[in-house]
Amino acid sequence: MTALEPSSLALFWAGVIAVAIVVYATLDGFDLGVGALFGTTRQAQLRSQMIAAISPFWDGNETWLVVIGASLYAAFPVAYAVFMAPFYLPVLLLLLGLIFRGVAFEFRITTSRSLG
Amino acid sequence: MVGMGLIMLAISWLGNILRWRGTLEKACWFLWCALLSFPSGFVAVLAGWFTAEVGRQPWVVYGLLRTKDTVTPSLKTGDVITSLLAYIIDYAVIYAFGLYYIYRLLKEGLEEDSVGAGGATPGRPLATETGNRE
Repeated sequence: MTALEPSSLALFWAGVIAVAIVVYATLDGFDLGVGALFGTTRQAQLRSQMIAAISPFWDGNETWLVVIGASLYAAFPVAYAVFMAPFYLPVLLLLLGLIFRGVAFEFRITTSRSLG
Repeated sequence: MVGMGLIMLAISWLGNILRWRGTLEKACWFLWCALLSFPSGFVAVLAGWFTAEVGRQPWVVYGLLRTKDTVTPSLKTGDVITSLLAYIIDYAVIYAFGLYYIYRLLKEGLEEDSVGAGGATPGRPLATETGNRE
């Protein structure tokens, strides 16, 4: 084996991360997309249907993002460092957005005033 | 966390003693204590986290890999301050609204049909019947 050939462990983890990215983009694309379409209607009934369609799944779908980040951190720390250094603030904004999105799911139920 | 647990135990035992005496509904001071103790669970959880996590650096090795060796070289002080402030503001907003909504739920009181799990969304035990009001 030459030095340039990747080890099978590295290939395995690259595969794990690739699969996780595809699954994340597919699954969370579904509920992030519904979230993006949420602003297109103000009818309370449609909005409730949208929320009901994604509320059992959205947090499970987001967990694939954790798989991607943790695998990159543990398997390819240099790549993680290269990625995280310039993207520190964008990733911070991503996380803050996800925090507000997650809390919004819980808070929406407790508001009696209709937002529609 | 342990202190909050003892307070919770004290309140629940005191409530049982008062109920056994039949004066639970008339003991206004106790009912106020029970109402004001609603954040005790959150305080206990946060205090437990502080105990477990403050000063914890699982990536250092005692004497071999010190804190100064583990600082990310590319991380700028400004970025750290920005992210810390952003998280503080973020959590302050969320906790303020959370307290406000808890206060509103307490003010509205129990709904007759909120006891059963009928309207609960799977995996979201907090999201019970109140969601079907609109």
